[in-house]
Amino acid sequence: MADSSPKSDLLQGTLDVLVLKVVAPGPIHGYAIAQRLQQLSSSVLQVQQGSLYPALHRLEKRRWLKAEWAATDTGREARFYTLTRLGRQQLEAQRESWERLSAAISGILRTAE
Amino acid sequence: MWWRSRRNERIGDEIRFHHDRLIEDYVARGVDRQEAERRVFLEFGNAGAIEEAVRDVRGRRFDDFRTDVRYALRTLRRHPGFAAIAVLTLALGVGANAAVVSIVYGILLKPLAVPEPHQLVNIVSPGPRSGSVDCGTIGRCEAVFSYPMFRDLERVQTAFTGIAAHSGFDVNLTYRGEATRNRGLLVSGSYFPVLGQRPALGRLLGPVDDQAVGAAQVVVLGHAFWKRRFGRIDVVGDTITVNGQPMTVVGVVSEEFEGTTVGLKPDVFIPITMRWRLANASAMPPPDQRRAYWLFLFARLKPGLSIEQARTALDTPYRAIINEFEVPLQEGMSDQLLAQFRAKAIRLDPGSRGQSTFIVEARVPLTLLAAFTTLVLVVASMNVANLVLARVASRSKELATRLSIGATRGRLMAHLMAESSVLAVITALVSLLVAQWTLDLFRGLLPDPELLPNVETPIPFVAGAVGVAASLAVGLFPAFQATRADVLSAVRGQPGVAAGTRRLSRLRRTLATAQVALSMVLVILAGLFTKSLANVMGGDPGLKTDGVLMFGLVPARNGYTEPRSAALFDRLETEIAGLPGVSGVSSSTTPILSGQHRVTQGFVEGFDAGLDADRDTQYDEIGSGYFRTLGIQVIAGREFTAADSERAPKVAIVNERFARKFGLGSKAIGKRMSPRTPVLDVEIVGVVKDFKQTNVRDAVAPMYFVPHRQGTRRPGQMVFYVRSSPDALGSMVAGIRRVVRGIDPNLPIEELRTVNETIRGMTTGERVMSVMTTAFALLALVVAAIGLYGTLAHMVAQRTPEIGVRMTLGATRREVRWMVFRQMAAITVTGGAIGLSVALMVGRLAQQILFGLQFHDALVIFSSLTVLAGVALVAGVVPAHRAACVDPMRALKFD
Repeated sequence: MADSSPKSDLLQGTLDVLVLKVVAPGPIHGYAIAQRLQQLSSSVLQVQQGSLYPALHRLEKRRWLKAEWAATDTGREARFYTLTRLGRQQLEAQRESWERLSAAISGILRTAE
Repeated sequence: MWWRSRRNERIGDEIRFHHDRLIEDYVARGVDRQEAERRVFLEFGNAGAIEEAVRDVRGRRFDDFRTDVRYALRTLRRHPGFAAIAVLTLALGVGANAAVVSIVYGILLKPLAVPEPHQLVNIVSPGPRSGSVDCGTIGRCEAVFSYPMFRDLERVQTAFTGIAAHSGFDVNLTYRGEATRNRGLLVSGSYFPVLGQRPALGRLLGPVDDQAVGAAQVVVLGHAFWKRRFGRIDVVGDTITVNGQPMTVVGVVSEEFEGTTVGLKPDVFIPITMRWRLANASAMPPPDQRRAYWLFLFARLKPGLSIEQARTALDTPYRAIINEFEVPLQEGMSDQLLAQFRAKAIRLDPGSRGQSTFIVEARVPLTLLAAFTTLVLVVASMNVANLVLARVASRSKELATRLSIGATRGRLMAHLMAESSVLAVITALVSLLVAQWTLDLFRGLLPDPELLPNVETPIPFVAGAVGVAASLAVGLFPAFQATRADVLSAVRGQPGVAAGTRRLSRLRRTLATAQVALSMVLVILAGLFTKSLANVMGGDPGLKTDGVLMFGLVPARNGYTEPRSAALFDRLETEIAGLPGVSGVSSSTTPILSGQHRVTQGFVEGFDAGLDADRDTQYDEIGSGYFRTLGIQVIAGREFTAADSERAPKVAIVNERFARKFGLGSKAIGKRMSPRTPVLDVEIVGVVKDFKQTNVRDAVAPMYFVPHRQGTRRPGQMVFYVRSSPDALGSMVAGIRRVVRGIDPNLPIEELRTVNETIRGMTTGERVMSVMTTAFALLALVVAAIGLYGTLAHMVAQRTPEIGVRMTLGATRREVRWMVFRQMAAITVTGGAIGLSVALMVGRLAQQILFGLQFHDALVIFSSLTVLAGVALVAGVVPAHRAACVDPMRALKFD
């Protein structure tokens, strides 16, 4: 399905860590995750629902997230995700490796100048 | 739990929520609702596709399966012909297998219904036994022991928790004025304790019941007998007359316990020490007779002991007893025989299935039958695989379409598997019916339904398991085939069309060939068994049995003295002869054609072949008019009459073979002979043509006859033969019962039936094999024919354009027809040849149960090939015709 769009060429696995990061503060539903990702990336990243939801369920299946149905402030039911302990460890590990990677890439880009 | 997670999932709801919130956001930002919906629609794409993507992540579950099943049911309903043939074919194979597996299990494999059956061992001691030997259904003659030996072993043994002894013993039972003949079992007091049995009612027999001869006048009833005869009422404490002796019923065995011998379900269990009270005492060796062998022994190993340890522990004292006590008792044994006697050792056989000669006799036929039905199942499975393949081929387009719109290969496989599962369930149910039917067929062929132990239990299980397994296996293979990429690309019309379909066609042709080969094997085997039965039945037995009834009486069991018995027999013959329609009555002490015979040493005037000469001859004691009544030809001299009484000169009649063996030639009449000792005090007065006295199968043995009035002892039992017209048998049976009841209502009539029925009973093995294999072989042949037809029809359909081209280029219809037949012939000849060679290998194994023919019998093979060719032709006619009727114009426009 539509896993690429002009704005959102995400590296494989990047979406997962971003989702973990967004979920980390507390229970949040899918729509809000999408909004928040867009907002935090200053609209650079626009995540398609076709990628987001499979990712959410994949993370849930890996037990990095857990999900629960609960009422939103408007009273309608939505599916809220929270980070599990495993998810938190993953987030930490992935952030570190991401920082190492981005530092390395930045280093290469800078010397190449 | 799936329903919880499913409720939690609600994937559609989650995505709809997102969708709705997007719209609301636009609306909140001031966008007109309709415009908001349009934008969201563009942005969002297909919500269903997202849901599917999520489902792919989560993995497929039950709801998919349910959809698949619903879809499968619909598909099958649309193709009822396919479904019916698939289910029936498979159910035939599965049902037959379930029944035969249950029969094999019940007869050959099922352990006794006792605790820890593997601890039981049967005690045997092969080697010479001189004296009287009494063996039968329970075990071979090398397995019997004398009563004193049993008591000795019981006393000295250390390796067992106990040794049990038993012996079959038919009894006349009278309860409330009704007399019946029943199967009894004489058992030692240790019998039930060793088996670890508990009663259903009252108590079982124990060590207190076999302390002294005749002391414990008690019986325990078999459960089935109790149910049948007493309707499960509490009869403990009632008196029942056994062989004229009043005995007290003390208990009933548990429902599961059917005795320790397959094929012999005892109605009553009697203490072994009652033998000398219940039987004709004068005909019975006394309890301390060491040379009377009649007891079968088994024992339970002490925990932790191996069979070999126990054997050694028992063998040492056994050999001591043999050498110290029994060797001195042996008279007239040659040194060589005595050495063998001394060397007799104990052997312990695993006893978890009890003791039964039936198990041994049934092993080869039942194993063959099981192999046979397995082949039927294979043929059936191949047929269904072929059908499914054909369906897959015709559905390739549908499958390809589904694949191209995004179904994964796994989804398609799952879908095809669902279809197989639905077939599997229906098949399993129909199989149950087929299994029941097979079992009824089998039971109907047995002379006594009790020969078949309780086998119902495993049937549903087996049918279900095999049915499901077979259908799934059958479905899985085509599913793999169908989802192979090249097949699918082929159907999409890309290059490789021919490659894909050719593979499929080749596969179908291979399956059809294999089916033909296997059904060929089955037809040949069935032919062998049928010819074997025909041989057994067809040979001239030397007597005319149509319209002859036979039955037995054993007044000795009811305490008749010998003179009283003799008087009874005379009166009975006179009264039966007076019945309207009777054209002959006679009697003998050995029932004819029942597998029983008696052997003795013959001494004949002028026959002197040295001390060690073989003098064995069979003999029987018969009434007057015996040969006339049974339609046996008297070649020379006369037959016995009423004048040959006790006081008249002793006379004998011999058969041809006797005359030949003892060198009488054609001058037998007037020569003198004698049994056992060379006193030569009997005059030969007649010679009869050889006839089968013991068994239709065995060759006629040398045999002589004496009038039973002049026999060694006046018999306490007699078998009677009554000749009348074959259509008057019904009234004759009633007449005989009336006469016997009129003489003594307490005397049960034994096995009143026609001589022909007796012969049928003797040929059960042949009959079972012939009828069952023929039925299955014919069905397998039909199934193979369907397979062949399907393959040819498929081929014709595939090649319709090609045929069209050929016809346009000038091929005649005849040539086209010939093309199909050539295909048919290729399959049939290949299959037939393979089948023939397999049949020759398998037939070798069947040789030992074939009577009067070799496993490579030319007639059987030739007829089987003819049948196969005929069936193949029939299967080929319709496709050939269809091919010949192809309209070239339309065929070319096709596609």
